Amino acid sequence: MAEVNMGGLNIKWSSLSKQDKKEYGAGIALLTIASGISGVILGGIWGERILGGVNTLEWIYSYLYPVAIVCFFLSVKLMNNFMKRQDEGFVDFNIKANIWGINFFWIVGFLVAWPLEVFMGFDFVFFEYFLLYSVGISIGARKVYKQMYAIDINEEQS
Amino acid sequence: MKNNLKNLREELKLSQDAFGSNLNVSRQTINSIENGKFDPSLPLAMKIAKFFNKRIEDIFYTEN
Repeated sequence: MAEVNMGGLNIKWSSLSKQDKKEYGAGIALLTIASGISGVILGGIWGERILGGVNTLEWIYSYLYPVAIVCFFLSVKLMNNFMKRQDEGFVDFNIKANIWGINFFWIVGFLVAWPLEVFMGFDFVFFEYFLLYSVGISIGARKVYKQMYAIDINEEQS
Repeated sequence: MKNNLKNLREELKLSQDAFGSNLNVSRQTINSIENGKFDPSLPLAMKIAKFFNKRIEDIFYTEN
């Protein structure tokens, strides 16, 4: 059964079964590929921000975009399979951390990023909004870890 | 919710890890239940009660 470590920021690799390692590892790899591609496309990292002008490689976007979508859905499928095998404590931990991520995303996005974009002319893109979710889930994981596992997490009570 | 899971487990001289393996949950989950940081679902509470051959209310209770 999966356990968390690093103050909730990581999954303890040694606690995973062989199948868990395969599915979780492949899921993370695919999600990273999807994030990388969508970051390039939607974040404009590979666009005007770097090139400063016309992007001559724009034609490749239409080929990469479906790859990112397929990778994303495959990673969701693998992660779902992985989560279904875990116990309720681990699932509860992840639900609570995700709620933090979602709340941080919409509160900071709505109250800070969006007004800056509309009224101040800042150019936030999808990729950066997604970062808000990542920050939120990291804060949530730390807090939930402290709530659930603060007492004697590393030394087993026999 | 409070519980006397730790005492019951210690009576059987089981580690959290070994007890968790019996119930198909992780050591961390057992740890958080014992410390009152996580309330188990009814199916898990029933599993725990069955493991100790006790009623759920003999293991889990509220302060008042």
